[in-house]
Order: sequence, then structure tokens, then C-alpha cells
Amino acid sequence: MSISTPATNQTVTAQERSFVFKVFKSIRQFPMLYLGALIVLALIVCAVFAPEIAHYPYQKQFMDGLTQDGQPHPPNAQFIWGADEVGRDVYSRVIYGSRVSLTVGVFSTAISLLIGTVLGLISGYFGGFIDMVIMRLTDTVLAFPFLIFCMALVAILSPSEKNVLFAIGVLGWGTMARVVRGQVLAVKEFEYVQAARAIGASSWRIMFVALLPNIFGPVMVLAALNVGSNIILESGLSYLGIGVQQPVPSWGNMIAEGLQTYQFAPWMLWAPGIALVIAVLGFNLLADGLRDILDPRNVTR
Amino acid sequence: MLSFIIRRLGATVIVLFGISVLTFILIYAIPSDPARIIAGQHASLATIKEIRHNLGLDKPVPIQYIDYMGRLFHGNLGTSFIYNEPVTQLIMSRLGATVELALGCWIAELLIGIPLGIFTARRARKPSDYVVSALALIAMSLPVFWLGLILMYYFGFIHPWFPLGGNSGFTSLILPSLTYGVTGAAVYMRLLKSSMLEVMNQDYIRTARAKGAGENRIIWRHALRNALIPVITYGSIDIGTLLSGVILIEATFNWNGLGMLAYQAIQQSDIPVIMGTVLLTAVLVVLFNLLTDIVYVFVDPRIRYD
Repeated sequence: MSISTPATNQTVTAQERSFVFKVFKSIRQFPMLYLGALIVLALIVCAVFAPEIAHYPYQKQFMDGLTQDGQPHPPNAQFIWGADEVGRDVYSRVIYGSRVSLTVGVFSTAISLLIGTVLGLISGYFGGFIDMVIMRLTDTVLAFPFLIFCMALVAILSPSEKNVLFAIGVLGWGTMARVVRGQVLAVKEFEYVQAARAIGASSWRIMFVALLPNIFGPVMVLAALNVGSNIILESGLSYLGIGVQQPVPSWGNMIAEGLQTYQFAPWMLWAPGIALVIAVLGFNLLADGLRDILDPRNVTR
Repeated sequence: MLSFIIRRLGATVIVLFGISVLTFILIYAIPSDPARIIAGQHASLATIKEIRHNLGLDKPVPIQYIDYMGRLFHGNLGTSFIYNEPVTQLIMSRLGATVELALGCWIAELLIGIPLGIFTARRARKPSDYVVSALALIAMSLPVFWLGLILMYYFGFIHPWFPLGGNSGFTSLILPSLTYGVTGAAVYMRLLKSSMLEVMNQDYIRTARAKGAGENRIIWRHALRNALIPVITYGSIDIGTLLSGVILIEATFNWNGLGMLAYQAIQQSDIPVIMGTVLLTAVLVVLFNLLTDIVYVFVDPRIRYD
């Protein structure tokens, strides 16, 4: 007994060391992926636990948030990132703002992903006339100036978080469809797909069981990039006033407030802007990292 | 190649038709009644009805579409509800400002992106490459309107070197162009870097090396010309997009271009103007894509379209 105890201890530490070593090696190899994942995780934590992390409710207006002459209060102990022009805590609003960004970014991408993947699969797999129709439709959607198109649709539906999310998702599937179609064209002549066809698998089964898992990688890279660009798009719409409306904080509408006051209250620009950059950077890093793992011939690795 | 161009033109016509239908559907879905907007708050029902009749809004939808297309082929985009001016005239009056801004942004992107692309390709996997690439990734994540405001704060307000928005001559063009240039250049840089690295691995570069060509000659005379092909493609699609109006830049710098025209029209439910600007910008994008595909054939003789 007295001999075996240190022996087991030793094997455990050896295993532990090898595990830690593997993690360390993996982080060294793909630093962008881990940094991106960390940022995205932090964003999720902020969004989910916003009431616990924020100091105050986002809509609460403080008398002492304004200075004697009625201007926003600069950062101090109570308002660590300053107050806005109606005396609300900028820090709390930035934390709550992560909810809008994350929700719109993720769910609009999910809508685009669904439409784009299905149309791309059908287009690439069946080819011929169906392919032609779907691709011309894709060209048409891609030709529209995306922001103006979204603005028009949101204006029609009335500005709200839900409608922004819907408009971005429903109009933004063009690139996704093209990429999926391209991947399907590359993969569908492989032997395993022909084998599936030979044993009598239905078209739908081939598309969703044989093809889809094999084109998953590039689609995920694109989806991660898409979340980032949709977060920017949402903030852009809210910045223009055609998006999330006050008093609900979105980083975009906070920057729009900052536009009115930046000459005497620049902190109102800094906090939401930096939050926005970090969030988008997180998804871009994640996309780049995924690409490095998935694409063995990527020369930039 | 002729057959390729003809097929490509055919596809373009289909897309243009799709654009007109989609624009029409989108606009038709706007719930507010234009006749009421024109008539004003205190108009009687009869006046509203008359205006509606004059605008052809009481006809069935397909007839309205045919009317619309008929007018379109005569270059008539309708009359603005708000400005009471022909839409073509409104667009023309803003086009100059948009072209100016688009070219400024584009040149800034190229001037920043291409040198950095060559630089990072030559220094690949060295610390300077990592630093520049990391900065590029951050630049790509910057929202243009925020960067614009920050630049305006420091270089327009704190140090009043440039005007705080508006389009009045060359100095007012610098900040908006720089804003867009910084965020857009990252794409050019990454594109050029990866295509340079790919080209540098090819046999003809090794041959040039073997024949004793200097590094500078190899980069500038041999590698860059081939590596630029994807950059040219992206560049011509990019300028098409830029010409369709950079709303966020225009709104931030108070630049009176097409983007602002569309933005204001959307806020005021000025339907003919929304239709006109959306249609024009979509057509611009399609035409630039077509041009890119055709130019491509001449730039890169390896590509065959038969």
C-alpha cells in the first residue's frame, strides 16, 4: 500500500501534465480560436447575467447623473463609465446592450443559415433549371444595397429588435447560399455520395445526411463571420434610428446619443463603441481560428 | 468568349427584372398612404381620393407594376412626394457628392491595403506580420460610424484640422475617406497577402530566383502582377457597392449623397425616391459585377468560359 500510493499519484500527475500540456499546445497552435471563444463566452455571460453584472437597471435615471448645469456626469465612483444626457448609468446600459447585439447577431444568422443552406443544397444538388432559378434569385438579393434594403424593410415592419433581427436574417442569406452551393458542387461527385445513390438513398437523405455534414466546416466559418457583421449591421440600423428604440439600450443607439453630446461628453462614445469592437472582434477571431483548423492548405497559418 | 458574354448578359437581364419586381413588392408593402402624406393633415377625403387617382394608386397591383415599368423605360422614376421634384433630378443632384465620396473611400482603401498586403506577405510569420495582421483584424471589426465619430472628435473638434462634417471641398473628404479606408483596407490587405503567398510558391517564381533575379524584381515584376488578380476583382465589386452610397458614413459626416437621400426618403415614406435610389443602386451593383466578369477574361488569360 505504502508503495502503490505515490505510484498512482505519480500517474495522475503525469496524465494531468499531459492534459495541461495538450491544452497549452493547442492554445499555442490556435491562439485566435481560443481568444475568440473567450470573448464570445464573456459576451454570453454579460447578456445572460446582465442584471447581476450591471450596477443599476438600464432605464433608471439618476438626479446626480447630471451636473449642476444639466450636463451628463463624467465617470466617477458611482457611474464608473459616466452617465448619459438623462442621467442613466452608461456602464449598466453597455452591459444590457450585449443582449440586443447577441440576440440579433445570433438569431439573424440562424435565419440566414437556414434559408441559405437549404437553397444552396437544393441548387447545388439538383442543378439545371432549379439551380438557375435559385442562383438568379440569389444574385438579385445580393445586388441590393443591404443596409438600404434592411432599413426599408424595418421601416415597413416598424422598428423593433424583433423586426431588425428578422429583416437582417431574411435578406442576408445570399452569400450563404452561394458558399453552400459551391461546396456541394465540390463534394457531390465523391464516391461515397455515389455509393449512397447506388444503394437507393433518396435525394433528401443524400442532401442532409451525406452532403450536409461534409460541408459543415466552411459553413460554420461563414456563420461566425456573419454573426459579427450582423452585430455591426444592427448597431448601424439602431444608430440611424431605424432599429432598437430607447430606452432599451443597443450599442448602436447609445453611439447615436453620443453623436449629439460627444463635444462635451465623449465617454458616451467610448464605452458602447469599444464594447461593439470587442464583440465583433470575438466572432471574427473565432471565424479565423475555425478556418485555420479546417483548411489544411491555408497559407496564412 | 462571346457566348459567355451573351449568357452573362442574359443572366443580368433576369436579375434586373428580379430587382424591379422585388423593389415594387417592397414598396407596395409600405402601410402608409402616400396620398395622405401629399395632401397633408387637413385634406378632405375627396382631395385624397383625387390625389390617389392621379397617382394611379387606385388601379390593380399588376397594372401599377406595368405602368411603373413603362415609365421606367422612359427614364421616368416618378416625382418625389416631399420635394415635389422628379426623382431622376434629385438623384442626379446627389450623384456627384456620392461619386466623390466613393472614389475617396476607394482610393484610401487601396492606398492603405495594398502596401500593407505586400509588406505582410514579405514578412510572413515574422513579428511585424503578426502585429499588422492583428491590427487588420481589429480594423475589420470597427463599425465605420463609430470610427468616424472618434476621428471627428480628435481631428475635427479637439484639433480643428478638418471640418466637422458637410461636403465642402477636399479637406472635408479626408476624414470620411480615411474612416472607410481603415476599415475596408483590411480586406484588401488579407486578400493580397494570401494571394501573394500562393503565387510566391509557384514554379515560375523559383525559375526567376534561379536565374538570379533580385527580390525586388521578383516581387514587383513577377509576383505582384499575378497576385493582384483577386484584388482587382474585389476592387471592382467594391467600387460598385461604394457608389450605391455609404449611408453610415454619409449620416455621420453629414454628407449629402445618395445614401442620405435614401435614408431621409425612408423616414418620410417618400416612396418614389426610395424606389428610385434602391433601383439605381442595385442596378449599379449588377452592372459592376458584369463588368468585373468581363474584365476578368482580359486580365487573366487562364480563365476560359466555354
